[in-house]
Amino acid sequence: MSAVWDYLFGSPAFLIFGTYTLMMIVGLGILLHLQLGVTGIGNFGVAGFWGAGLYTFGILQVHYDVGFWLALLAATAAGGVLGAIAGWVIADLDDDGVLAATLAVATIVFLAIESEKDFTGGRVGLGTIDFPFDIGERTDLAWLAILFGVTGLLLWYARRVHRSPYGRLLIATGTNEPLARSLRKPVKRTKVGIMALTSAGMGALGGLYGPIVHFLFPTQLTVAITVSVITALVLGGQQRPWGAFIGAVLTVGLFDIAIKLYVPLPREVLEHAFPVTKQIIFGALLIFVLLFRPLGILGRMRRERHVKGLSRV
Amino acid sequence: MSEGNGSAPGGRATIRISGLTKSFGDQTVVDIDELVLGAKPVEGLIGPNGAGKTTLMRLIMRSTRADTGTVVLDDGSSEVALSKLAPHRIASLGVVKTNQVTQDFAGLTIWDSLLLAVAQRHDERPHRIYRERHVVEAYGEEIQGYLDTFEFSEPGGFAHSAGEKKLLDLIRCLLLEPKILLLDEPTAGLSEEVTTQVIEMLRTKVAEGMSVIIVEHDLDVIWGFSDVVHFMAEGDVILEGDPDYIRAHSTVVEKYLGSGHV
Ligand SMILES: Nc1ncnc2c1ncn2[C@@H]1O[C@H](COP(=O)(O)OP(=O)(O)OP(=O)(O)O)[C@@H](O)[C@H]1O
Ligand SMILES: [Mg+2]
Repeated sequence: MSAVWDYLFGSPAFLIFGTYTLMMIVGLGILLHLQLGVTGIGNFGVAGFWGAGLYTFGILQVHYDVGFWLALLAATAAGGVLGAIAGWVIADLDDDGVLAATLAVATIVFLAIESEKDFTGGRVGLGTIDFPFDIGERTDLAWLAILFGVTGLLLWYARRVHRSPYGRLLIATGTNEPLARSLRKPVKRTKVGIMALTSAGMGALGGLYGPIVHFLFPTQLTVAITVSVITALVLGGQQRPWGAFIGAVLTVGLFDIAIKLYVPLPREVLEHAFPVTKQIIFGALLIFVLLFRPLGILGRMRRERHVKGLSRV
Repeated sequence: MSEGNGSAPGGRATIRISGLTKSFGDQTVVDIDELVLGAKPVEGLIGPNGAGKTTLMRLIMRSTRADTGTVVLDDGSSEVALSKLAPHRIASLGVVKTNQVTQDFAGLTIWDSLLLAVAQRHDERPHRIYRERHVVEAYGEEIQGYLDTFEFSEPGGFAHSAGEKKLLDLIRCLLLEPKILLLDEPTAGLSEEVTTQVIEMLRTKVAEGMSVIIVEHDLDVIWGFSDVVHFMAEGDVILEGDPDYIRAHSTVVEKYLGSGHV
């Protein structure tokens, strides 16, 4: 039993780190699903909201010795405030404007972190950040279990939203704003609200990522993470709560876990060619999916099922 | 539902318009000095294509912004400047409009669309993820009532034809229990039978206290349904009177009825 455990989970740090990454992408993907797939807000700045949380957490822990829970709360708030501001800015923009503005948010966060060296350490990095508990060898696994729990919670929430009046309001807002307004729905407030809420979630995930990497670098929040999240969600199905999970397993799961673990690539390739190739393949995959199956593997939202189930909500 | 129903103590709510103008480019589309709508239960608004009827209604709802002018809702006891409110607030005050050009929520089923219309603000908060049951219990019967009256090919699914979407648009508005319902060609594209049903339904609502302002090119509907008719041409209401008066008026005949337009 213990030998099997060790083979699957014990020895290779890759597996654990890869699964951390997987869980991050799934979690962010579920939140992006609520923004993009449900409310029609194409957020191209996921890395920014996540990074705001990550660095808020890091700065508070490293410079101010703030405890874990308070730092996590602050990370969540940082994401939420940034999301509310972004939501307010993008509420009246068209789709292209939303993409540009959210990308700008991420860029501002990135540049601020890179330049405010006193706080963030700039490119030198910020650390160290430790797990809030230490149970020896199994600390990593415990943290992984926590991440599983958090991701599961997000999935549960997203699924509930689909079956709630709130979800219906979001869908209506995303598909026909003038019509939603004419039915008394406060469109702008709804958009600011969902952006604040989901970006707070992204900030919280950022905070939870801190202890995993121990040291924070600006390079951790480049557009690569946004592209990974978008690729996973779009491939799996942007309109479906499980979309991000399916997509992430097929992308991050394949590249960051399966190939790294079980294909004996030379270290050289693994460190240099591999990440680049991965990004190229993700990009190509994204284009391919958008061209031939824009709603991804799971396809469109299934509202008529919901109606049939109304008696059982 | 509690609010938004019935006539105010001082009589019917009216919409008072003054100095309202709207231009697109150098074309003046609406230019109205003074106009009161809603004094009578059912008021018709007619006029040739391009007269500005839709634009006038959109200006009232603020789905189009006016260049100048004010629109006031007077419910007998208080006055509200609609022209200063956001569109969703206007709808909350009981002034609601159907659309001439079919509008729908892609991805929302018929039931979805109707539940959306009835759901209140406090039902739609992010933490109310178990609220659906309440909304269905509170409004399901009322919605089912409409679905029993009007026939949809797939009531449990999506509205398919333009006619079904038009009906859905109307039912959504009725579910809001408006004080004043603006109808922009509500029967265009509907069969004669359904048109009769719609007018029947509207009559019931009017009897319950709702006011109707209706734009319609099917003049049989206008003459038979309206208490008063406003005739609009080139951006202004140039004649008002009871249906027989308007029907026989030489200006109306010349500008509209006689043009072979109908
Ligand atoms: N968004 C717009 N941009 C430019 N011109 C517009 C716009 N909306 C309306 N118009 C013009 O304003 C004029 C009035 O249009 P409106 O739709 O209000 O007329 P209407 O009386 O409703 O006509 P119909 O009976 O055909 O529905 C028309 O000449 C139309 O082309
Ligand atoms: Mg019109």
